[in-house]
Order: sequence, then C-alpha cells, then structure tokens
Amino acid sequence: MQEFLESFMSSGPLVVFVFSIIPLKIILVYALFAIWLERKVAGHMQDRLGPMETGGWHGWAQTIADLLKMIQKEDIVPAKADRFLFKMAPFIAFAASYGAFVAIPLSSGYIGSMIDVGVFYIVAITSLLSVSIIMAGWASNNKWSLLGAMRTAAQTVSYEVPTVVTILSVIIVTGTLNLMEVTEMQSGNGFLGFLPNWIIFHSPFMILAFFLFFIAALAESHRVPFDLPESESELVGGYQTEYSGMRWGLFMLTEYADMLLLSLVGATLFFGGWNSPFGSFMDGPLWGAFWMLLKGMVLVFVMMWLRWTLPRLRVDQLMNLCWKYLIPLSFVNLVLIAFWEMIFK
Amino acid sequence: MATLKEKSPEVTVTPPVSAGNGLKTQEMVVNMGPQHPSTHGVLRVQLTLDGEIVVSAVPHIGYLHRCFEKHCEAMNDYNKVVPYVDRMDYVAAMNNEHGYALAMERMMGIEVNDRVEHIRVIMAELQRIASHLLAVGTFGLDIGAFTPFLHCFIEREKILDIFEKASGARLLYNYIWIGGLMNDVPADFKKDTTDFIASFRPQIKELNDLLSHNKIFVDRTANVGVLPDKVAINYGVSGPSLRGSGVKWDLRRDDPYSIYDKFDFDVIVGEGKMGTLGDCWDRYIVRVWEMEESLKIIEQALDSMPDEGDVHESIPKKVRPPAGEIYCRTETPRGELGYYIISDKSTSPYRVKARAPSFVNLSVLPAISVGAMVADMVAIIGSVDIVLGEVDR
Amino acid sequence: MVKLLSDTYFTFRSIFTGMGITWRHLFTKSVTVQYPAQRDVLPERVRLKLDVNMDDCIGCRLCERACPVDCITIGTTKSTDDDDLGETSTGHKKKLWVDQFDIDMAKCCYCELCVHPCPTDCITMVEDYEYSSYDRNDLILSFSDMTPEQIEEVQAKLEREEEEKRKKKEEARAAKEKAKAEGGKDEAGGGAASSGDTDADAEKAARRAEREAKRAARKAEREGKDAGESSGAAGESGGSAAKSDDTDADKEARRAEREAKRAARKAEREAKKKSEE
Ligand code: SF4
Ligand code: SF4
Repeated sequence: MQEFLESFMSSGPLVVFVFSIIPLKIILVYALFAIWLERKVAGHMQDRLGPMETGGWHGWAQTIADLLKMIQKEDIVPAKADRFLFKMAPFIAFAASYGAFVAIPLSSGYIGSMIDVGVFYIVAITSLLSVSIIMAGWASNNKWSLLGAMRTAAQTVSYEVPTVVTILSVIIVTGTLNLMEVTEMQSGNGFLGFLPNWIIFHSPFMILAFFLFFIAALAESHRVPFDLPESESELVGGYQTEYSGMRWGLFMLTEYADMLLLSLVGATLFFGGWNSPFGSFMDGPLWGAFWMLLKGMVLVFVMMWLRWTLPRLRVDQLMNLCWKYLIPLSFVNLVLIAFWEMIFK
Repeated sequence: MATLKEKSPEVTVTPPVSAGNGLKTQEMVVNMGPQHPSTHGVLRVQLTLDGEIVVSAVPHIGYLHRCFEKHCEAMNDYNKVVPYVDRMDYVAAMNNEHGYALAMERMMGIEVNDRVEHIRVIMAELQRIASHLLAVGTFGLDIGAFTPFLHCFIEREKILDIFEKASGARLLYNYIWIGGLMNDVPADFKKDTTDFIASFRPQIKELNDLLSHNKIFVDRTANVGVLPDKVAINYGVSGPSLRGSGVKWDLRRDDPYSIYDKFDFDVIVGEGKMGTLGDCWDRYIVRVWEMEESLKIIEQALDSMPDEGDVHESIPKKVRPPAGEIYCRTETPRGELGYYIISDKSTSPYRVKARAPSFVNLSVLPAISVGAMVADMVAIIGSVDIVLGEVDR
Repeated sequence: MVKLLSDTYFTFRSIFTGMGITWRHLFTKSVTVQYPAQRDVLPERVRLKLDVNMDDCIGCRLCERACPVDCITIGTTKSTDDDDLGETSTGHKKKLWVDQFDIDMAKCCYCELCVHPCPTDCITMVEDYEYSSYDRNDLILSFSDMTPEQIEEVQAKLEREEEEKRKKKEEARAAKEKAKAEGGKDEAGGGAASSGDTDADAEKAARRAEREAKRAARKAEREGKDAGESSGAAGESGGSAAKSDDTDADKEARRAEREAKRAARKAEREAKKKSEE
C-alpha cells in the first residue's frame, strides 16, 4: 500500500494532479446524484414523483440542468454587503469540506494524503465551515442572515464536542488517527466469526457511539432536524438568504459534500470503510471504492430519510440536546469503551 | 403622488446596554414579512428582538386589501356579492358563502328546503376539513416538517374534487346562493363523500403518528404561545384558537344555525395534554380532532339527506330585501364569521360588513408572542391560523 | 430519571414511527398526474373558459348584467324588418344583431353567474384551460362574427329604414292632414308639429336626447381618461405593459366613442319618433 502510493507520487506532477482531484470529481458527480436522489426520495415519500422530465428517464438530468441555470445567473451582491467577504464565503465553505476529503481512504488503493493525524485533520478543517458561514451571514448585511450565522456558530462549536468525543472512543480501539490504518484494522472476519470485523460490532457501546456520532454529524452538516442555520420557514434562508446563482450553488454543494464527508467518516470509523462485508469476497481496490461509496450513500440516504420525516428543533432545544444529553452520554460512553477495551483486550 | 406616511406604532428600541464586559448589546428590529415563507401570505410582523427573544411583535396588515365592503356596495345585485365573499377566506369559501346566504335569507325571510340545508351542511363541513388540513399542514411546514404538509394536501385534493364535481370550481365556488344552491349535487355525490370519509379516517391517525405526537414537534409547540382563556375572550378570539384555550364555544352548538342542532357532535377543546392549556399544540390538536367531528356530522347528514327537493326552489327572482339590517354569525374553520348587512330596500346592499375571524384572532398575536423566540413566532402565527385574504379583505 | 428514560423512549418511538410512515410512503403509488402527457378527467361542470354560441344569442344582455366584474361587453343593433335573423335552437326569436360580444377572460373570475340567467343557454363554460397568453388583449374573447363592414351595413340599414319609416309616417300624416285641411286651409304644416301639445312633447324629447348624448359623451371621456391613467401607471412597470395598456386605452376610448355615438343616435331617433307622433 505504502509503496504503491509512494511510487505513484513519484510518477510526475500531472498524474499527481489528476489523481488528487479524484475527490473533487467524486464530489461533483455525487452531488449531482445526491440532489437528484434527495428530490426523488422527497417526492416519493410525499407520494409525488419528483423530477420526471429532464433527461428522459426519471429526470436524471434535472440537477445538471439546474447547475447550468445557476451558472448563467447574475452574480448579485447586495449593495450594502461587505463585498469581499460576501464573495469569498462560498469558496471557503466548499474548500473546507473538499479539503477534508484528502484524509479519507476511498479505497485500499487511494487516499488523498497519508496523514497520520487523519481524523484530527478532518475535524479541524471542517470547523472552517462555520467560519465561512459566519462570514456569509455577516457580510450579507441582512438580519436574517446574521441570525442564521449566529446559530451556526453556536451549533457547530457545540456539536463538535460530541463528535470529537465519539471519534475519540473509536480511536481508543484503533490506536491510530490514520484513517487508512483504521480501515485496514477492520478487514477480515471478526467477532463471532460471521460478523465483519467492523468497529461497530466491536462492543455494544460502539453502537451507541455510532448513534451519537450520527446525530452529531447531522447537526454538523446542518441537516434536518438540525438545519437551523438555513431553516427556511423561520429565517427565510438563513445565511443563504442573499446568495443567488453559483455562489448559492456552492453552498448547496458544500451541504451535500458535507453530508458525504461525514457519512464517509462514519463508514470508515464504524463500518469498515472500503472493506467488503463478505470477507475477502468482492475485495480489491475498485470494489473497495464501491463499498466505501455504497456505505456512504446508505448513510446519506438515512439523512435524507430523516429530513423528510422530522420537524426542526428550536435553537435552545438544540443546545439542550447537545449539552445535556449528547455530551454527557458520549463521555460516559468513552469511559465505558475504555473499560471494555481494558478488560477484553 | 401625495406622500402617504404610514402611521406605525412607535418602535422603541432601547439604547445599547453594556453587557458588562466592555461590549454593548442592543435590541434589533426585524421585519418578518411581507415576503416571508411562514407568515401565511403577506402579513408583516415587526419584531423587536433581543438576540432571538421577541421583545415585541406588531402585526402590520393591509397588503392584501381589496375593498371587499366597498365592492359589495357597488354591486347592483345581492347575488353578485357571493363571488366576493368567496375571496375573503379563500381556503374556506363554502363557509363564507354559507354565512352570507344565511344572513340574506334571514333578512328576506326565505326558508330553504331540507335537501338544500343538508347539502350546505355537508359542503360546509367538508370545507372545514379541507381548511383544517391546510392549517395543520402548513403549521407542520412552519415547524419544519415538509412531508405531512403534502400528505394533508393529498387529502384536501380529494375534497376539492368533490367540490369540483358539484360546483365546477376548486377554490372559489360561488355554490351556495341566496335561497338555494347553484346546482344540485351530482348523482355520485353520496358515494364520493362516503368513500372520502372511509379513506380519510386512517389518514388522521397517520397524521397524528407522523406529526402530532412526534417528540420534536411536541417540543416545538407545547408551552409555546400560551393563550389563557381569559385573554382569548378579552381579545374576542374565536374558533379553534379559542377552543384550544379550553373554552367550549362553538356557534354550531351554542347558537345553532342551519340544521346543526340536528346533529350529534362534540365540541373539541384543548386540554393542555402536552404542556400548558392554550399552547400552540392545543390549538393544533383541536383542529385535528375537529376534522373527526366534521366527519361525524357529514355521515349523519348524508344519512338524513332527503333525496328529493329542488335546490332552486326558493331562489328569489330578484333579491330585494326589506329595509333593515341584520347581523348573522356562523362558525367558519377560523371562528366566528359575522355579516352585518344593511338594506335600503334597493337591489344593492347599502352596507356589507364582515366580522372576519382571522382579523380578530390576529390581534392577539402581540399578547402571546412576547418572550418567545423567533422560531416560536412562526409556530404562533401558524397556530392562530390566519388567512390574509380575510384579515385584509 | 424515569421521566428522562420515558422521554427518550417516547422520542425514539415517535421518530421511528414517523420514519416508518415515510418509508411506507416511499413505495406507495404517487398521486401526481404527469400533466401534458396525462390529463385528469374533468367533471362536466368545470368552469374553465367561457364560450358563446352566437347562433343562439338573442342579445338580451342578461349575462352582461349578471357579471360582477363587468367583463362582458355586448353591443347590439336592431334588425330591420326585411332581415330575418331566424330563431334560436330554443325557439326564441332573434331581433337584434349582436355586433359586439367580448368577454375579457383576464378579468373574469369564473363565477359562472353569467351562465345561469341566459334564456337560450348559449353562454357556457367549456373545458379548455390552456389559453394563457403573453398579451392580455389576447384574452379578450370576441364572439361576434360580424365584420366592421357588416356592422356598418346593418347600422346604415337600420338608419335608412328608420328614416324611411319616418318619412312614410310623415307622408301619411301629411296626406291625412291634407285630407283634413281640404276645406280651405292651405297650410298643412310641413314640419312635424301641428298642434301645440305635440310640439311641447317633441321639444322635451329632443332636450332629453341631447342630455343623454352629452352624458354618454362625458362617460366616454371619463372612461378614456381612466384607461389613460391606468396605462400611465402601468408605464412605470415596463414598456411593453404600457404599450398594451395604451392599446387598451385606445380601444376603450374608441369603444366609449362608439357607445356615445350610438347613444346619441338613439336619442336622436327617439326624439324624431316622438316628434312624429
Ligand atoms: S364567469 Fe363571472 S366573471 Fe366571468 S364573465 Fe361570467 S359572470 Fe363575469
Ligand atoms: S344572456 Fe345569453 S342570449 Fe342573452 S346576451 Fe347573454 S349570451 Fe346572449
């Protein structure tokens, strides 16, 4: 693995460049797909059909058409806005979530960068997102945007705690922050012989840990029921209110990229990453990518499913949930997992 | 253009106060609406916010004013008022027509036959269900749940289909006329309605599972916007918003009009099951269970509806009421809708005034929203269930 | 603690029931109608667009009078004796040329109040809902199939006939008077008036006609102005709108003019008739 990566790194800048934008391509294609899927899921859950016309089969090209429309749109900056910050914010947002993909092993043969502090890096760089949202909210010079931005700041900062603590409980088991190594540890058959050797099956507390992680991830990616920064029925559009055209599109892209990112992190930490669920069957770098994305997409689907089922929390309830339930629970869980680890290993 | 200065209540924003750490905080004034997704039309609420806490809320209305009352005076025929009545509370047009027709009939001393009465009651109750479906659906939408909203719309659509078959229109029917109906109901009306009732009962349960008892929804609406019964009565609140506060007041029961005294149904009141009595959840759940009661009324009415009877029987050739005035009130989905009509013995009304329930209910908004958060504001507006067409008329 | 646990249980149970419901709906058949491809079967009473069967219209204007928003404009000319307009399918005798029958669907509120009073059931709602347009003038449906020349013709004819009738009457009267005046009176009175009484009557009628004509003219002016004003207001919102409004105003003004003329003519006719009698 290591050798492969090293040899590949030394094979010239062009190849490196092509390879290093693989996540970008994946994000773009995925976003097109995910937005279409979201519409379809929403539609069918509401006994509708969703997009049906564009592109022929079940409106598969709808998002592409929307994208083309957005690119053509006028780039409007409000007169009283802070132009520089206003224009920068979407890029920073996207860069933050795109940058995080670098540490995710998409398959056994591909990882953007073999950093030893992978998880740490991801947690750190995704916090940039809240900076960009605050920038957007502040620069828009709109009170709704500002309220949305303030909510984001509070939300992201709070929910980072349970996220990090649950991740930490996984790290106790793996003993490494490098996600490639974390994944490699989960290959083969593990517990009871028939369940895959995934961390979620490692101990009962891990299931709880995953739950906590998933809830926190929902909050971090601002999805319903935690979509307070946007909450279109209260804050009009939150920090996105004044954005239009491709800048708004970038925020949208960021939201979906974030969903995928957190799903992939979840898949890597709890569901064996690119490992096949059938042991060595259907294994290999390409199959690995398939499994990885599949697991990610399943989690993304669950996020969509929740979105079209649940109402939205209020900002104080959101904080309540985090500080009164998630954080204590995740700490208790951390301790329990540590004990489990001490006793059984 | 002459300068029209809007007289708005003095907005008092307290001067910045020191937060104690060298920083200063100040209240902020935000306009919620008229272009806001959750103000149910073009309501503007001027919010003074302390952070996210509402310090004061002042509703501004009039963006949808269409001179209903003046229009009525300009009509040279009382019948021509009916389309305008439709457009007041456009999501419950049947009820509006019903009230207007009743007022005119009382004024002229017209008795309509039993079939007409039954059809009117069925239509009015179907409309009540349709209106409540819209109300609870959009309330869910305000709270952030999109799916129940569309599920409600699917059911509402079925009712509109029934209306369309009978009257030809889906929203503004002009169906209930002074002294009768525009058309008799189509032949399969009974079957359609029975089918709808059968398919709708399980949907109420599903709505309860999906939305009413959802923990997040309950948390968002219980103990929010508490409207004590005394305050409600003082403000003249009526309809489900009043019953949500535990006041058993329903004109169908307390001042029966048409043939409502014949039917057996309960007046649903809020019980404060999830929190305080008179909170948003109570107002919401009253609507949900009222749909069930309406179903009961419809079933009874369908059973006792005579098959014979000319719906045009007592339509007067020329509507020329004797000089005088009348106030006639009915229970629409939003509350007490009263028509005050003055006739000068001519064929056109001298004055038609409508006491619109939404307008009166809206007035309670400032009283119950102080201390709430911005997100609660949305819930409160949704739970009072206003239709701006009726507020502004 | 118990409350906390039961709350948690309640929370998760409600969330999972909700998810169960949405999951079930994911696989229920959707209610959407793929509109241009599929179409709903509409009930027969739908109110979508007005249609007038001009063969049956007797020009009684009941529909025009019933409309709450005044979006029907009917213009009629009396038919002459030699024209037989035939009967409607319901057996009503047609006596008027309906030279104008415009319904402005942009103003129409689809209340169907116009449909019910029609004695010949010739104005109906039809099942056509795809008639949106970029120009609001396109939404004015003109049902009268008479060309301007035809209108001109029938009006001229009517005038001619009336003239003739008057002349005939005059001649007859003149003849009568002649016969009366045989016994010596050589003056028979070429004018219309013969006695003081009728004279006063005729004068009164003429005055009334004048007044009416004036009023009509004033109304026309006012209407024209109104239309002009509205076009001015619309002009702010865009050139094209202003243009269309301008033509609107023009039309309105022209119509008003026509109306005024017609009223004046009518008044004249009446005056003449009165004076003849
Ligand atoms: S449907 Fe109503 S508004 Fe339309 S033309 Fe007939 S009467 Fe007038
Ligand atoms: S009511 Fe009927 S017959 Fe009379 S003018 Fe109107 S369309 Fe013609």
